[in-house]
Amino acid sequence: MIRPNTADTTTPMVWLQGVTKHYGTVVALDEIDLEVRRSEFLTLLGPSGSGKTTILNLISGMVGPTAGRIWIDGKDITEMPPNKRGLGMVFQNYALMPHMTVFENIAFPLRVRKLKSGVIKTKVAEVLDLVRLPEVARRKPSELSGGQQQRIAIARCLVYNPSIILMDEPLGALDKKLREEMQLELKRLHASLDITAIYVTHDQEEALTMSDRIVLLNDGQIEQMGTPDDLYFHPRSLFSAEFLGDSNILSGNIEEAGPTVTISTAVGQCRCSRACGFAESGTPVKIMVRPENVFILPPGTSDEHLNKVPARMVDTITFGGVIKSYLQLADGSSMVVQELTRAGQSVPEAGSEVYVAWSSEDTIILPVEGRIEIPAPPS
Amino acid sequence: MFFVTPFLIYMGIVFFIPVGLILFTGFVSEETGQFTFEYFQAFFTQGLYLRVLWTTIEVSFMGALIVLLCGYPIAYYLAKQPPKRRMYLSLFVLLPFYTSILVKSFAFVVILGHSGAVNWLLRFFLGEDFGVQLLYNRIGVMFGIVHDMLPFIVFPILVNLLAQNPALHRAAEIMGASRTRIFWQVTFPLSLPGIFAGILLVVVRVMGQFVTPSLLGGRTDIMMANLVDFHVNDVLDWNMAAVISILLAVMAGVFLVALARLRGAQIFGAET
Ligand SMILES: Nc1ncnc2c1ncn2[C@@H]1O[C@H](COP(=O)(O)OP(=O)(O)OP(=O)(O)O)[C@@H](O)[C@H]1O
Ligand SMILES: [Mg+2]
Repeated sequence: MIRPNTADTTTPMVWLQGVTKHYGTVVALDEIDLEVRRSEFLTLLGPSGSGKTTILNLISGMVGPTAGRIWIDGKDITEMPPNKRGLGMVFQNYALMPHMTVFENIAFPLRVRKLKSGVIKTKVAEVLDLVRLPEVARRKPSELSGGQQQRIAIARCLVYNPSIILMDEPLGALDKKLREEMQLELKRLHASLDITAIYVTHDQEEALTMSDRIVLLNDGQIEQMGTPDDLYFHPRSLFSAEFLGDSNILSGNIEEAGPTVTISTAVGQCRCSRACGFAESGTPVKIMVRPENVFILPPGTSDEHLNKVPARMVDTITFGGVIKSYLQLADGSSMVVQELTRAGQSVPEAGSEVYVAWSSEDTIILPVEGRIEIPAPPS
Repeated sequence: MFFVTPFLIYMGIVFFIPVGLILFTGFVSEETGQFTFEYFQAFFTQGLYLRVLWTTIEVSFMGALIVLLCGYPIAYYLAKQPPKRRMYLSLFVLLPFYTSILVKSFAFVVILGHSGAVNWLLRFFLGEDFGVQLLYNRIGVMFGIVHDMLPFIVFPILVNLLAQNPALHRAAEIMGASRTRIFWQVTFPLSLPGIFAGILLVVVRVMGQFVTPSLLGGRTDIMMANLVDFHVNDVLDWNMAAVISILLAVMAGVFLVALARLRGAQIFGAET
């Protein structure tokens, strides 16, 4: 995405420098280094307990780090109290004041900033328009639907123009349809206002659709960081591959390294023409291929770019626009194939013997444990 | 239904029958056996009784206010403590419950009396002929009430404070609010149901008190309950005793309804 150039694009908006957080004996974060760029939409993604909320709490100042420093816009704010940091935050359960009207809720941060009551009125009206709820100023939060309450919570956060907005699963309490609507809404607001957004979710689809960059967390460490495409198409570990999207995984050993790597597996040889860090033959590895990159072929087809193994159809399920076929390979491991549905399409029956095939370019080699280290950028 | 039957029988014997008897004694003439307001008339035409009625109201509300002023900070402090420490500190708030009224009164004399600790200190710092009357007047009554009633206000408020959604305070803090602002605009308004519940408990209980005022108060600090005691035990005018009891119950009822009106149905449900 192309963004307008702001004055200073080199200083990160937020920088966690070697940050560790312990809760008693629990290591919630283990020496994290994280830079959030100006005006980007950064998502913290990870399973429950991986440290996402802890990162937000450290940035907002609700808790202090056990070690490391935290910088906002080039200033070390590690010791600064939360009410001096000038951030915005949207909570999962909205955290609207139940005893105040919508107007009073949104006016609260403006009153804190001692604005004149005339200015407050205009600003509240403006921001209510922005979230498309101009009519509800006099109501109490309890008189609004969940989606409306979340919009008010967002309005309350936008009204004082914080340069950074933290969001902790803001859409977690909404149903699927409303969630998708609000995702677009948030994207729209982020694109139209020049804000740095740090967004927490454990929903990988949400992360893939909304983010400029994703930080995938695993057990208090950064597993992988990059654009949604990076994470989806170039996972650097089994954890990344399995956490984002569906994946088919086979075990094998490197047989022959080179521009095209050959791997021997229990179901036959596979080739991978992507660059990978494995050179030594005999190294045990995992290979991963996305379900949408696998085809079901009738016996007899051949193509030298394709990896092809025999399989038996087990089941087929149609999910609206896509068909997922579940197959079993010769060694008993299973494979999922995902195709777009087309009218008049015929899928092999359950029990029939077929081949599954995928190209050597879509084959990703991953270490059995840990992650592929990024080669240091040439200096 | 089966399981509550024993309870209903018990309540019938110890509550509804006596209340019925009191109503009967208050409203039915001893001579004619007819329904009558004569005993009520007798009450409302006695200047002394009216003064006692007023004293009762005054002492209850003044007491509740002072108890609130002392109790809120305690509840607030307790709410901020880690759970273990809070439990252990709560035991101290409950101490007045474990202490007999006679022991307490004696302690008050030792502390507040003419030659008690407080006056001794005052004299030590301010000179020999300095002294304040802290017992056997309204001040003494207030000391007694605060001591007796503190738990009744601390616990409803504490429960409310603990039930408040911590995200609200965090949100306010991140929006830039100072501690003072957060207290007055978030914590305090949200704790109103707890405050009202506490005040209700204190006012209703103080209205029915007679031991504390008679032990620590002066001659003018006579409460309605003292009058009941006087009529039952000394002059044996049970009709007047019944009238005063009924008035006390009505006052408590009116106060309860007024509070309920003020806060809708939220009095006992802490809405956070
Ligand atoms: N106040 C606390 N006291 C003790 N341990 C804590 C505290 N807060 C978090 N932890 C621990 O720190 C780790 C990270 O927690 P965190 O809340 O950051 O996870 P999360 O990624 O936000 O998870 P979720 O998706 O469930 O919200 C967890 O193991 C958690 O148990
Ligand atoms: Mg969390």
